[in-house]
Amino acid sequence: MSGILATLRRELCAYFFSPLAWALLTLLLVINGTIFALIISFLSDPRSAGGRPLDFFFSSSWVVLMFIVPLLTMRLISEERSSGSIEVLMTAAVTELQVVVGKYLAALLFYLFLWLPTLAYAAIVAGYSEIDWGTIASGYLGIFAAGAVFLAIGTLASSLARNQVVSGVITFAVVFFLFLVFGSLQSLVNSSVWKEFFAYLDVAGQMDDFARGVVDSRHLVFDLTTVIFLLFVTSRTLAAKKWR
Amino acid sequence: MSESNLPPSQQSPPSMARRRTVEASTLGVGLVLAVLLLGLVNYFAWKYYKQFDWTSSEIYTLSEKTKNVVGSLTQPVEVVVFTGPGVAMGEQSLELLERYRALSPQLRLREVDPIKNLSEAERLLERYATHYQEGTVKVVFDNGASRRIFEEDDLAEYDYSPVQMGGPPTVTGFKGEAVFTGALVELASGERPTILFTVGHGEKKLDDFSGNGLRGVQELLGRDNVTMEEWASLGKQVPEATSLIVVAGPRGNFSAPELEAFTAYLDGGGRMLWLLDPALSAIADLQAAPLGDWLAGYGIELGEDLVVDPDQALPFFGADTFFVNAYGSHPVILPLAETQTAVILALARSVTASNDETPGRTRTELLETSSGGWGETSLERLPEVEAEETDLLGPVSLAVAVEEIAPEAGPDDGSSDSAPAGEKSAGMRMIVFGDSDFAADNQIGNQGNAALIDNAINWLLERDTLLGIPPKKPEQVRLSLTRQQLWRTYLLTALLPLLAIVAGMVVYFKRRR
Repeated sequence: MSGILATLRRELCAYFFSPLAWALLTLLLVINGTIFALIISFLSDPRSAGGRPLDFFFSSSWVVLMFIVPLLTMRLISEERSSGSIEVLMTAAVTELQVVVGKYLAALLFYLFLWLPTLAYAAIVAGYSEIDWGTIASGYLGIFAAGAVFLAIGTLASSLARNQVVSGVITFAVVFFLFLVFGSLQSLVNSSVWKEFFAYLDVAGQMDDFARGVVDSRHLVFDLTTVIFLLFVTSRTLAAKKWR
Repeated sequence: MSESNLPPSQQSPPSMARRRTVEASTLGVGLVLAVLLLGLVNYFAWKYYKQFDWTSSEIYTLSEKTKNVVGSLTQPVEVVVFTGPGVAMGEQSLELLERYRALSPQLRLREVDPIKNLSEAERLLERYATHYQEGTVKVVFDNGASRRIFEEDDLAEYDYSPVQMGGPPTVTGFKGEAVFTGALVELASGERPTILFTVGHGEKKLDDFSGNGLRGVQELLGRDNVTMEEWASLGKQVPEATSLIVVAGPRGNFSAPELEAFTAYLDGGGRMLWLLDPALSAIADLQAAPLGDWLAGYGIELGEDLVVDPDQALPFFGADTFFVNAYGSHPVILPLAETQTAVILALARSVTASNDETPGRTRTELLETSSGGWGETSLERLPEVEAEETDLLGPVSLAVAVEEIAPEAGPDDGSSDSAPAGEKSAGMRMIVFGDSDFAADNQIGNQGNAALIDNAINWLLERDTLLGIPPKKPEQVRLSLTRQQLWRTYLLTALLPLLAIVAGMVVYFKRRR
């Protein structure tokens, strides 16, 4: 546990003292702000069909996720490998799994910090109309759950590539693929079983459910087990490199 | 210190190779086990799941009634949803039925896109003897022995007011839960309503191919799991298991014993639908007495007239063929009123609710002409007619619904039931239309005619309204922001990234110091 905490503390400091982190926060707020402003303009039009503003916001948050996650995770392990500091880390009194979990938790906490200012949007909407805090809570749970899975993918990609850019590109490609492919496959197949299977894997569909206030145990189990599996694979990847 | 405990760089080559093999094998086996475990856990999560509704209005929470009904299913029910991409009501139906499925493994859900999967759709549509209209949704409940079929109009309540401003109509309520749970109750009970169509008085027939028959009505009701039979009423009592008697366009009159049999049937909570045409000597000899007197006993005045409405006459037709879009307040015509759908009548007579109120019964006029219409009584001078003092001046009522209400219950206003949820009311119900042609094969396809006859029969049978499950009202937030408020919102939104930049600069300069 102490190994995880030590790694977590070290990584969090690296995030918060890095200019990249603040640039990321600015980028996220610019993209999210633009989306939010567009939603407000749309719903202010009397010809619009109406809807809950933050439902639209949460449903469209996958666009932001695709760009933010690779930037957050690309340096996690790749940087250590390219600078050679991974050798020092691996000979310290921490296991590979503790290193991976510590680094992953740091990325997850920083990811949550990035989304924190968007609560201001809920406050703005609350000033103009009634607001459903239950739906907002489930919307944020959706962002957290999807982010947790993608950060685990990014952590694994970072352990596979020595180059940070390569790691970022792999993460982006996988996240992009996951967002698009299962939704598309659902509309391509005719079998109900396959449709359900692809819906189960469809993270974008999951986020829609969370955005409208539905919390489904299937989504939570899928996300949690995928994160655990990916972190396990990442730690095994690091262990394997030790013996090459 | 043994060699295997040394770092790899200090180990001898054979020992290193052995170690690598062991490590690779362990890693491989570990990965395979992890994948198996991942698959196993997710398989069970997929099979047995639970959904939680975090919305404050609990819009995605099923009622206790639905949970009990679905949870107690003992035989498999296949639910087939015919829909296409972008059909909002199809998506809502699927989402709702997914939640039903989570409650019972007996419920099998199947989605079919008739455009993409034509052969499967055609096979199923043929099996269910129905059709699919592109861009809509059709839901079929089938337990092997019987089935219920629902169209888009059965599932939604619409608000058409945005259309006037160029916007799309909005769904104000989704009735899916009441409709679907009602269907499951019916299928589980095995009840199959029996509708008798009287014969022997020149009525319209179920198997008439001339265009004047009721094959369209038969098809409409056939999807709803009902038994339809023709029945000669002369000299007989109404059979015990009769759910509804339909009298469609009789030309001859009914004898007193027949009417007495109807009275006894209605007194026992029976249901009747009368589709009556004008007593024109050229086309019918149906006079007011004794049927008119009998109906008067239920507070219904059958007019000895022919209704004309020049203001609403159809192009190229006489004033006796007109459209009606003025509706009363009643569940039968509520969907038509909401969707502003007209019905087309031809050669109709007036049917009016009488003023004297019999306790325990309510009478509601369902349709009426415009104020420019009237009930022409000088039938011998047709077709040159003018409104005269002796005529029934407009607006003229064309249909009346009568309902007997139990003392402790209120009338059926469409939002609540006159009977306790889950039970049919004990009181009689009857609807009298002053026209039968609107339900005939050559006219049932016009505008809202099919919906009118379908709604009337469903109301008489008390279908879909037995459970007291209210429609779900989606939260449609419309932000009516002024220009100033909009600009303030944009400014606040722009302020957040600026604050992030400032915070970043503060951290950066503090670190440099």
